[in-house]
Amino acid sequence: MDNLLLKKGRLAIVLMIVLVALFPASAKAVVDGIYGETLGISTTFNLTVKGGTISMSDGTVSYLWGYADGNGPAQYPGPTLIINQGNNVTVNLTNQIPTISGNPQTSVSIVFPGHGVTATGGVPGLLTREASPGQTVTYTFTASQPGTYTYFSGTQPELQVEMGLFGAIVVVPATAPDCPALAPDPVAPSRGYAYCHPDAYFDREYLFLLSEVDPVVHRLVEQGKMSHVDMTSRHPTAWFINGRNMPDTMAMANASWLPNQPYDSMPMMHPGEMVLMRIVGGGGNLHPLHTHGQNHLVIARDARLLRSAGSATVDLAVSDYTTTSVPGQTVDAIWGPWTGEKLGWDVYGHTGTEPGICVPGPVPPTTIDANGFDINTFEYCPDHGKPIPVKIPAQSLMQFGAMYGGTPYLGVQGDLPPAHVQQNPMGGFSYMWHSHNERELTSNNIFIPGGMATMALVLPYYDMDGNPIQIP
Amino acid sequence: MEKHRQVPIRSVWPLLLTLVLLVTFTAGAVDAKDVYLRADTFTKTMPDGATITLWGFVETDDTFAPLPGELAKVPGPTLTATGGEPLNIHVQNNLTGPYTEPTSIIINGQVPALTPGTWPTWTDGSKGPRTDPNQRVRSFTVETAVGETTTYTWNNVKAGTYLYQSGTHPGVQVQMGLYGALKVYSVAPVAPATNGQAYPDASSAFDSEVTLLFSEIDPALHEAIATGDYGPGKTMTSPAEYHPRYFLINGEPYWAGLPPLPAGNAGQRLLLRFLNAGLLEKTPTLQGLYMTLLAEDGNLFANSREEYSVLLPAGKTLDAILTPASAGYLPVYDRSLNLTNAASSPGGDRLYLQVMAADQFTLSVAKNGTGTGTVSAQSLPGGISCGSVCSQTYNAGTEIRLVATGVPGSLLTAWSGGGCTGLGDCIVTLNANTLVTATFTKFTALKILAPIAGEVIHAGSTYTVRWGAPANAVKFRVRYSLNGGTTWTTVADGITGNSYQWSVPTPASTKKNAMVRVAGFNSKGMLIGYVNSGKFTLSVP
Repeated sequence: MDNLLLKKGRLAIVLMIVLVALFPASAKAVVDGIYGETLGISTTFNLTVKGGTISMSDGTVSYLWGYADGNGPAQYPGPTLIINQGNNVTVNLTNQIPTISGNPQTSVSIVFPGHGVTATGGVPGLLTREASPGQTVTYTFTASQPGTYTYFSGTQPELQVEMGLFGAIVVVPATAPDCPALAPDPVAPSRGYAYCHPDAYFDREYLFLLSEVDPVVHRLVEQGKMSHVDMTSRHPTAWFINGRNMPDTMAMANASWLPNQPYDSMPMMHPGEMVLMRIVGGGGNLHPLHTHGQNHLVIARDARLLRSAGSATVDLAVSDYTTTSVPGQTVDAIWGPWTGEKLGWDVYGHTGTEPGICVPGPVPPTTIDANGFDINTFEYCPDHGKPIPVKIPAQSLMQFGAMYGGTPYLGVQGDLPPAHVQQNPMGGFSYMWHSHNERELTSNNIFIPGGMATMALVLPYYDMDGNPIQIP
Repeated sequence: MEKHRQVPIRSVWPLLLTLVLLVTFTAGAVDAKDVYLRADTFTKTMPDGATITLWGFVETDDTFAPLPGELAKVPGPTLTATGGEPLNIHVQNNLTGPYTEPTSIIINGQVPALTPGTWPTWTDGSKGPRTDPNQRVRSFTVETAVGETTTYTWNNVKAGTYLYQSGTHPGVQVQMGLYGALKVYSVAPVAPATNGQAYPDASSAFDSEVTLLFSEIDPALHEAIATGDYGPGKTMTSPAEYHPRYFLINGEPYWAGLPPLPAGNAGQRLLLRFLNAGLLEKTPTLQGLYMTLLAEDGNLFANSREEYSVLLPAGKTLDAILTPASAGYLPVYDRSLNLTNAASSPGGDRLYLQVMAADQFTLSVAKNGTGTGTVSAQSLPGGISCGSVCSQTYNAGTEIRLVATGVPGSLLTAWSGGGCTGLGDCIVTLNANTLVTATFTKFTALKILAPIAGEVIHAGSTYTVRWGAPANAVKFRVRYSLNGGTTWTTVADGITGNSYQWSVPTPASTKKNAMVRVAGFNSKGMLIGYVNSGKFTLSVP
């Protein structure tokens, strides 16, 4: 394994680069979720509250009350509701919560902060109308503004949110003419946008729904000892992203061994791409979410752009490496573009002969900004086309592991030493993204892998054979 | 004055009048505002019956006699001032009980008049310059010993929302209750009008305002102070172990009898002043509306932003403007989930803002019968717990769910008024002044109240079985029979309360001799009796 191999790979892909380098094969990703039944501009979700089980990475399980998609299993967190801006949304909630012998029966409900909701059916409760066991209550609202929202139980929330009754909502911005400010991104027409604003373009989007569990509370509820539950002595010992602890965060979505925890958290991107982080505080505590690799730009909070009145730009946006996620609040942040700036070699896999990249000229219209970046690909031009300058060290001098593949060079893979079965997935760089409250990096006192952490992967555009690497 | 000199003076009176007005105005601007506060020890009963000893301020006259109708409270009285004005707070320390401390007042974010008299008090009790490296600060400003009086002065208060609190041993004294809100207006409301301006910027103009001061109580410290068990060598030596059990807004934990807080009219700009005198962070959350954040710690933001909730850390103040489009009730609750009173729910940091409707109606609750119980509003916006709070005035059209809870051995057996019937909850919509009467009946033996006999109950439906029981019956078993009592099937065991929502089974055909049986057990699990309903029809379509 040396840079000859790399060159051989490159020779095979020159033509392909000409065709696709400007517009990488990065169809916009969407977060996992459900779309409901849509008829015209009406979208209907049928949710059910059921019992289930949360699997935690210390090997223990906790009893769950979860929102389910219709007749599906209870989910931790509840299904992510994906809605088109402007649609009239109906959520029918049916209470199928298991009755625990000896306890009063439990009503359930949903509140949707940031939306003006009309509730019908059920009985009046303290925050909204509630469904008694067997009952259905209906909530309607218009998803008038795009962005990231949350929903959760409005009935005894201190207990029911802890038990799992919360989820995320993504309202996808309208297209023209309702989103007139937004023309397709000239660099990548396939880019998505989180808000009707050019500062909200993204190549890929990922959800970070953060929560915590005190297993004692769940055990008391499961055992029917409701009179022993005292939420003022709540003491969480497990922390979750999208309902999973590390390393389960990195297992595939809908993994069969996690039937009540279908959502993964595995951000992946190519160099030069912008990743939209939809961060939602699902539990009751603050969580400082920290991105390694580089800062992220916080562009919105509670589904409203951080923009002063009348401003054409998101001028109140802040660049952070740690964003405090607040219970019940949402944050949108853009991580990227990650460019591999000043690595000293071309992390994009270019040979330097691709037209229009880092070559100022009219066709395609490329310019290089004052800091040396191609404004279209965000590539650092002084390194454009430079091969990896050194030989890959011998195996005996390298570390191998699931997230450290034996070489620091993006895209380079090769033979594995005995007893090692895996290199970095697709030869990517790995960055841990995690809660920076170090206690939250544990599951029941077991340190990494555990708790509120996952790995973000920067993947090369091409593998060693010159084939494009597709990000799922 | 310039203008007056240029016109002929027909009389000295206009000039004199002008001078008088000018002098009055000028005097108003330079005279200090004087507030008199007395620190008292008192007790407060929490919704769950716990009695908490508190230290709090009461507003007094200049002899430190409480103003008419005023008692010491937590938080202390909300103080008001106008920006640029000098402020004198005169404090008398009237703390009583087996454990007391010297106290003082500081205002976070306001610069006090700096004189030697305001220098810190050191741990050796001395005041003035620090003379010994072993001295540590025990009071941020000059302390007022028990029985003494001190005047604390701010020469030029700044507009905004501030916490005032004890500056002496604040780890104990703030927890004990020596804190309150200070509102410094840029343009103060002139009663009876409620409009004004919070900061020297038009964006902070408001039509009405509410103050939401969050705090907590850890009963352990209050108990130790009340019994003299706090301090070196005592059971509690410091407030370091902090486990709050009560979560307060404006001094009250939520309970069913808490009245909604008036919050102006629809279409008006409502100023929300959030303050946190507690030690935990709070996340006050609105349900369907966004507020525009104006200021933090008494500092106006250069640019505002919109959120439906705010993070309110310990010691923080935040101002926001909310413009409700229509009359109604707006829940404000802590999404950090401090929503219980000790172990009981609902409670904690929750209240309802009332955006006033043109028409208001009163809901009154009365109780009669041989039994005893409580009727409480258990839906938005609360306001009835009868018990002690038996009437409340609401916006026209408000829907209230009243829940009747009998003491052991008593049970609701009838509603009247408000269109309410049956044995379940009373849901009343207020379109007129309404009286609802709950009849509680005392039971000396088990009795099934529903079904009784002759009902037609549909297979597959949910039916609420209800029964009355004597006080010693604490757990129940519900069974049914489809054959007139020959054989029985258990529905549920170990039930608490006096009702059960029965998922009615679907037999092969309609059963005309269906029955229900309820058995009661005492606290030791011993059967104390059972009773059958009459026969009813279980209808299969």
